[in-house]
Amino acid sequence: MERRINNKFRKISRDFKRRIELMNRIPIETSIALFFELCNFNLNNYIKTERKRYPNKSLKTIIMKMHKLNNNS
Amino acid sequence: MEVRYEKAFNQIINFLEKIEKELGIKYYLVGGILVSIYSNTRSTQDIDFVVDIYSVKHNIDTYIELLKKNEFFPIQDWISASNTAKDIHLLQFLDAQQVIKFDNYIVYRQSQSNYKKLGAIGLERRIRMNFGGLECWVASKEDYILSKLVFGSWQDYTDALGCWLRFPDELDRKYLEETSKELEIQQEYTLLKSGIDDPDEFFNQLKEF
Repeated sequence: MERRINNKFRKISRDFKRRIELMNRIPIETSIALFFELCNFNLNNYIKTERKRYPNKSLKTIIMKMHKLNNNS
Repeated sequence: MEVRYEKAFNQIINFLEKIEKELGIKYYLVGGILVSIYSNTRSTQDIDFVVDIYSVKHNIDTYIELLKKNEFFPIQDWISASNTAKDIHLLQFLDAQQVIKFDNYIVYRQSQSNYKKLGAIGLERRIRMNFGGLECWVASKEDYILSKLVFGSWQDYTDALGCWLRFPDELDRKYLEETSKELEIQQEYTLLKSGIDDPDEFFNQLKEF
């Protein structure tokens, strides 16, 4: 019962159909720019957080861990 | 903000355009990098693409030599990368910054695997577009959907559903119908066209089949 209610709210809060409709109203150049911005932000944020947690870790080690986590997800 | 992703994107597109022009090695982008143009913008960490090296008498080792000369780096070493690629026809490597990973699928026409069939199928219908200021080849909308249905994670189904809902009048349904049979994803395609509009419902109903 609780799971069914959770699923219902997941659907409402995601509102996937409306989000897709909104995508069609965004010019494609803006959408691509937003995509690059989002990828850079998440990547830089991950590196910054990992460097703070493990100051001695090399960038390559941080990146390898990220890709490993990504492959396993 | 460091623009690491664009740097990697520019490097790989310049390389791929160059080898297509000079050596006839055809390529096209696939996967998560196309979400902003085909479904719903989200973040991704790598760049996926397909190359057809065997049609122009290249092989994994000659192709790796090209990568080395153009400042691409192996994840561990090139020998391991080459051995894996010969086995599964997927070559993974890093950009010049050694940050962004490329998943480089190699077209292999002899394979009976649906995953491997996708490479050659998508190549026939690839389209030219301007992506972030660079002209490049990308998978068509239909092949984007089909590949997502073949790969089949929750995220893949979400991307496929996004494209289906976003371009209802533009998709070649006859092609989707026929190719989904060839790729043995009729159930997934049937559910996609059933009017479903939520990724969880799509994923859960498929699990019940």
